[in-house]
Amino acid sequence: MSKPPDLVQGTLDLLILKILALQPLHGWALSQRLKQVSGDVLQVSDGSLYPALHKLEQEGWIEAEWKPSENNRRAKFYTLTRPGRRHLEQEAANWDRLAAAIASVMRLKEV
Amino acid sequence: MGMEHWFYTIPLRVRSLFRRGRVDAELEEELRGHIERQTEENVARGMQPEEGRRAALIAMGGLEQRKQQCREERRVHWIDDLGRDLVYGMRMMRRERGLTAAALLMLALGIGANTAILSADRALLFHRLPYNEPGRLVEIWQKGLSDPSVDRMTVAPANYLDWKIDGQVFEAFAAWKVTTLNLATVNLTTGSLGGDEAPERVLGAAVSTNLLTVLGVEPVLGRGFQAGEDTPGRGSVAILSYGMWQRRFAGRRDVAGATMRANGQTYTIVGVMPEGFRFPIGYLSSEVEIWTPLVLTNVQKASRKDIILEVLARLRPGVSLAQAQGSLSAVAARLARAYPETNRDWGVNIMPLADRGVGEFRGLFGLLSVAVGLVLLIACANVANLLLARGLERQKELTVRAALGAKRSRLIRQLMGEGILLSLCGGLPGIGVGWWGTRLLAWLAPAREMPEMKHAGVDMPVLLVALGLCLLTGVLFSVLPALTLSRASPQGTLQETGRASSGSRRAGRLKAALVTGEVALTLALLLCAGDILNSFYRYMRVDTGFDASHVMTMRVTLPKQKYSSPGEWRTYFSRAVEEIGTIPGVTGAAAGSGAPMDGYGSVLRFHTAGRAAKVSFDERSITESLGITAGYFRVTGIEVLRGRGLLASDTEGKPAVAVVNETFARTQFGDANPVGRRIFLDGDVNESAAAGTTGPPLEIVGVVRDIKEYGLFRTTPQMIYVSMDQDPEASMVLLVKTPGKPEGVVAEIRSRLGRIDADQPVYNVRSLEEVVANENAFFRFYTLLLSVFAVMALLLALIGIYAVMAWAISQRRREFGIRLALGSPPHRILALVLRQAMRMSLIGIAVGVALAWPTIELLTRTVQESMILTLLRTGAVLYPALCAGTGLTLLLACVIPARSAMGADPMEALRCE
Repeated sequence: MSKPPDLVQGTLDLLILKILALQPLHGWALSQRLKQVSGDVLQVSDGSLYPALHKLEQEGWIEAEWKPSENNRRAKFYTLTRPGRRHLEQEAANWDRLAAAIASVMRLKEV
Repeated sequence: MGMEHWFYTIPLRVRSLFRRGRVDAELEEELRGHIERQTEENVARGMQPEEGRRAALIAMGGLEQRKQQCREERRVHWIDDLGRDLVYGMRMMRRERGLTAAALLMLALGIGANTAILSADRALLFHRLPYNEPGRLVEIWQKGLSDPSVDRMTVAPANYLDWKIDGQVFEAFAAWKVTTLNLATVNLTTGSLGGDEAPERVLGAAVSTNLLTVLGVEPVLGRGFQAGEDTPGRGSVAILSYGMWQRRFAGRRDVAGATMRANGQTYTIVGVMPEGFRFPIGYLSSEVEIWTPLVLTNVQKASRKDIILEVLARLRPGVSLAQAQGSLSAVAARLARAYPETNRDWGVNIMPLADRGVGEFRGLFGLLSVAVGLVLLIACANVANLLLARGLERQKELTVRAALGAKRSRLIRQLMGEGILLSLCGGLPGIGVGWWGTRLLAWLAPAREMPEMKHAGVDMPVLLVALGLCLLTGVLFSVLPALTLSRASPQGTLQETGRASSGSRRAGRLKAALVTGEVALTLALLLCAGDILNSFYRYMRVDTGFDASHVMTMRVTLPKQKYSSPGEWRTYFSRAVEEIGTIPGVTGAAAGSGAPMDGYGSVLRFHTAGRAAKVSFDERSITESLGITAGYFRVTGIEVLRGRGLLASDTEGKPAVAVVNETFARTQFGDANPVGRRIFLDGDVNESAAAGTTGPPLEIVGVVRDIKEYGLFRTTPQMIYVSMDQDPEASMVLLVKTPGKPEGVVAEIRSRLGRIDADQPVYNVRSLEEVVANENAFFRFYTLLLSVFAVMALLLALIGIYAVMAWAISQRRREFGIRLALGSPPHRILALVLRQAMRMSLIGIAVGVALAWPTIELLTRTVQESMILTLLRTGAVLYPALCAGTGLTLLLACVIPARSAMGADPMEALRCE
């Protein structure tokens, strides 16, 4: 079986933002959620998740808060900020355009 | 990204910087939490706990690397690096105390000297005028169309009034002229205000009533002048300077409306100007303290000949200097057509008011700034050399850093960070040195020529520029060593045993280049300073033609309001000379309209018998003229060469006589005897020839020696001396000769003069030697500064070159040891060192001379333009001597450490690894 393709540059950020837009999550839960929603097609290593989270936090797109988690352990929950939500909308629109463009190219048939 | 964005990010950055421990602990906790949960998850799926944990860690891909990645996302690591570099730099500075101290000292000196000159530049060249929107203020002069050197002539009232009609480009015009006021002794208790002190002579300005409006400044107390207060015959009003108000009127608030007496006239004080207000600025030896309305009579208002006014104007917003010049030139051309007789030759010259009194210093202080910049550059070269030397010893450390993965840019950043730290550590005390240097400059500067210097100080702009200079210096001296040292290849250096045996080749070349550059710059500075010093000393030896020793001079100017007729002037000064002559210890007393070299004589047109009066301007037909009493030549020691001096018997009613100087006699009569010839005076040179009235002829009765009337480095003008009795003047200098120090008799003279008229102040009290010294004060000041900077450069270069040579040779001890051990005779090794030194010094001298050549040309031209002084060519002796001296010094700096290296035991040198 061939290796699953690497994530397109910047896509991980988009995925994280989208998932966090639905509900605040801590890192581990986010990683579980990523695996769950994207199946085995998109493999996000746990390693690249945290630097990406910290980058988004430093950019101001998401903010973090320490809160007790489901089993009463302390965990760092990430929430989308308002600038983050705007950023997500923009990026999602970009993504749609890109995907549509690629899809239309792929639909071309050999004559 | 709006404000909202910053709202989220700034607290994070701050937290990353200042709560680093906390942030790191949270990162640790977050990642550990993830591993724990993942382990639990794995165990739940049936793994062994150990195995589950291992799998979780593998999925994370190296906990430490992830942490580092997360930390790098914080965007503040460069600040951390900088902090670490600074701490490390501090440690290096502490470890190498000697080197650090040397570098700091040199930097402090360099920055200090530059700061001092910067503040002088600011005071002299870039001062901000204390007026509203000073950028729109201009001054306007009459410009001679036929003679381009006459570009700033004062203005005739009728022309000024015609210019004023122009309303397109100018918002308003104002005119003024300097006046002097003799403040009388007034008793405070008698109702009218005034100090109880002795009568005082102060500088005033008669100004058009709208002056303050044009300048945009309000009085701090009372009011400005009102329109109509300049009507002839109306009561006089006056506005005081803040200083005058404090000094003479004790800052009393009821001063507005009070009266004071000056020039025998009563003035009503209407206002006081704010502290710091000065007008005019520049050219005047002391500051104006009283402003009065400019009163022009109808005759004056119609005159296009009496050039008595200075004119300034405010441009309308957005109007350029060129536009204003064009517009007013058209007006002048129109006037020239309408009044060809008086205006044919006059155009206009408009200059920014801010340039007033700046022009003459611009070139000179520009050069001085370059000189002091060179001193700093030499200090930079020294420090760069020291850093290079230290860096080579640190090569291993740098290589290890590079081998461990430090990028070259990171190494450069580290080395430059250390350099900038060093420059700041040297520069901050340097600015302190500069503050002190500024005080020294202000104290040394001749107050008469450079009144602005007393306002010099290290203010905010100077401080900022000096700090910038510090940073620039740091970058400058660390960039070359940093680039060179960071190039280290890991294998090369790590393999070398112990210290680098001969330093890297590149570093060696850089070092030689720096030394050569220092030699060149130092030599260039030395040559310039040598030139000006040589001129200075040769001029100082010039014979003045008179004897200035033990002579006191002081001036009395009788106000026309109280002493209206020439007869009264004659009586006053005859009595004054008589009174002073009877003071015990006074061996001679005289009066003159000017003292030798004090520049007070009047300049007159004349013609000799048999020639017609010339209308046009001609050197040969103008003469300096002094009115003197009989004792003048004896008191000043001016030698009578032919005929006789003026006698007490040359009184009014007797035939009018004159004594001429050698230049006059030679120019007018060649070798023939001038005694008995007759001359006719045609009036003051500043009035048109037609206005002058030819008086009765003067008979020449004697010839006296030339004196350096216009200063030591100017040629002597034609001069005539006439009898004060036959042509009295209202303002005279009293000259008093004593056997010993002349200062002692001043108090007695004051009291004797007080007996004649207690209201008349005695001013400009100074010895004749002071007058002479004053004449050369600026030249002396400038020569001193340039020489001090050249000597600083020389010392810095000497220390620097010696240090770097001694270090370089100590690095080569091993090489020398091997050479000696292999049988090379010591003198061969010495020759090796010498050859290298010789090459550096020859190139340095060649470059230095090449640099000095155009610089000296520039200096000569600048001095000529600003000081009207021709620098004497130094000739064939000084230049080669300075070149040879510089070369020899460099050779010595190499040979001394080399010889000491020779003296060492070769075996020891080899073993010292």
